[in-house]
Amino acid sequence: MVPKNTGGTPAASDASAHWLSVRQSLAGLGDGGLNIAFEAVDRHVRDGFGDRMALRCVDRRGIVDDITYGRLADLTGRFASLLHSLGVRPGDTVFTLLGREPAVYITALGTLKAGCVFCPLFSAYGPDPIRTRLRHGRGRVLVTTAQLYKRKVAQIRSDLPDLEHVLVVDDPWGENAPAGSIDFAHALEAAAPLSAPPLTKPDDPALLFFTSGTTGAPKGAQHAHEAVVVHRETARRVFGLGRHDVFWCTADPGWVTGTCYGIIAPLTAGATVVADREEFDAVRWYRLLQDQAVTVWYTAPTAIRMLMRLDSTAEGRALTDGLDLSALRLMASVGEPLNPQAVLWGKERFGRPFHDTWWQTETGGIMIANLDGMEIRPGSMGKPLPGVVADIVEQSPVGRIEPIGEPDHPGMLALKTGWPSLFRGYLGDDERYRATFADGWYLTGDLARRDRDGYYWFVGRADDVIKSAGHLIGPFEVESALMNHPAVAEVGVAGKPDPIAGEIVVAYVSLKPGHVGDAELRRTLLSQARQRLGAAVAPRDIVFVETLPKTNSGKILRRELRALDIQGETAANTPRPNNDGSP
Amino acid sequence: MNSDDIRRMILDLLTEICPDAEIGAIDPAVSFRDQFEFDSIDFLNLILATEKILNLRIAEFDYPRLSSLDGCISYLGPKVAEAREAG
Repeated sequence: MVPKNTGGTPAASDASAHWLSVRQSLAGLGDGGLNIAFEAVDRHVRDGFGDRMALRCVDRRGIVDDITYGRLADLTGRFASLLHSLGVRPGDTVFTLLGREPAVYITALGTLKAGCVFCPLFSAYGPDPIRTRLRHGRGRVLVTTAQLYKRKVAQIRSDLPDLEHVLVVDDPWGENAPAGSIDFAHALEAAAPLSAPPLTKPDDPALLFFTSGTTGAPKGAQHAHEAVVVHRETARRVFGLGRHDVFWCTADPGWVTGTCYGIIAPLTAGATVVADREEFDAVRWYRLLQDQAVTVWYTAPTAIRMLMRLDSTAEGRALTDGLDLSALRLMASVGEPLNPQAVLWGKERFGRPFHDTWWQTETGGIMIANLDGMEIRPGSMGKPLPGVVADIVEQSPVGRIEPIGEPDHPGMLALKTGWPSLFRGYLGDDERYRATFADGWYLTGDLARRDRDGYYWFVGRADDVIKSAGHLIGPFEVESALMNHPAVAEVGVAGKPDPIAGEIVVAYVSLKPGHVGDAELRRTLLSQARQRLGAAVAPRDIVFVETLPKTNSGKILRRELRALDIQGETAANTPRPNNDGSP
Repeated sequence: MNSDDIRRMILDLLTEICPDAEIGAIDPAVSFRDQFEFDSIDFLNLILATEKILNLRIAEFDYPRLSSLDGCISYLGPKVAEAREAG
């Protein structure tokens, strides 16, 4: 059991009545039991919808792997019984390092059925972030591909004493599979169907998502099965999802959005989930929207901006003009604030605006949104959903939380505790968990303002985390990967504004005496960081500087790092070398 | 600028953008993404830098044609010649 942080204030009582009523609309397990996977899959089979399509995975050639609810119920049950037969106990953690392929859905939901905790990892991570998270999360099982294992896990395996079982999904002949690993498909086929329904309770741990702060190691935000109450409610209220919908969430399953809205929420509504195994490609995405007759599309600002770029060319316009997107009824965005131009572009080109939404790993589900049917304010994150009590607050010198009240005055965005998908802890770090709460409020770390009509507007982060292409990146993890190079004296990492990615990661490096910040050292440091962290987390550029700006106590002032671009040697957000390769 | 020049330019750019890749071992017929760590932002950086060096515009629609070394050469060769003729 993980403790639940209940609001316990009069202001929260309406909200808790709301969530109670949503809770009653779920199937449940009898005897007060609740299980995310049962709500997402088995209840539809029980209700006679086992033949409906749950999942459509499209591969690079356009070949579709269809899985019905009935088949998904069977496969996830077998995965759960496979875990039991391996001696994996309820509460143990099962990790994935996979792209958008059927195995990630089967693993996620099968793990939840077994009463274990599911933790997805972003497959673009390098060995360092993978090791940190697998160690901290004490992963007993890892499901991955033979290639990813070879490239990223084999070299750190000796540092993972808790990892007992590696399941490999794509190597039926075992040629590249690591010694002692289990073939996913064969093991699943051989596993017995699950004989009894899961026995989980609402407060049992279910999901673990790693997220980054400014300092220290990544935080493992824990969620309980009860989070499904919010997933079900937001599937209905934000997206209006039902059995006839085809829902495409473009997020990677390695992030909270890819799991909560790429897997759980649409399945709780009985919709068909579309998954594209390929990386982003603007032309492919436009065609996929048409060919799969997507009705509801949940994507991210970086992708939208890339699609806008394509649409601004003659060839792109010819493509989009010829598309039949008549099935598409709702488009929504998440990950970072969506610029007003993008909202309006959606309206102009597709006859419907993008609906921006706001939530965090810790909130477990969408909290604030521009709902369908309400006036959209381009650039705003929208209004709090029913059951969510939000405010703009400031903390008094003695730690009391005071709502600001005055419209358009920026402050900390805070949410009254008590909604069902509020995280239940940071794994092994009670102190950091408690520090995010005060006076019955969850303090989001986002600075925002509220206008006279109750719409919320994002202002900035209160800390130094970087949002690049929708991914939250902690500067500390990046700095650590560079610090152990012998030439490096100090590193500060910050986000630099970028028209497409929102921000890109730039490392500002001062060198020890006797070292020169030249093109070769730049390449060496970039290479080291990319090998250890993976391309998505590593800096895209290195700026060599004399000294880093610091506080009196010696702490690096990351916010002031951007000003150093001017004095740095390679002040560019894209590498622009000459023909001879020197920058 | 002939095919060899274009090949060299692309390899030099990759050395700057993703120095962790084994540039010498690149299979020209296989997409960059399938050979080494190379994400969408890396790809965009490659395109922007190519546009700048060659002083030409690459239409977004054509981006997928630049996903491998052979693709870059066969796409950029005629473009460069065209630009030269146009003066």
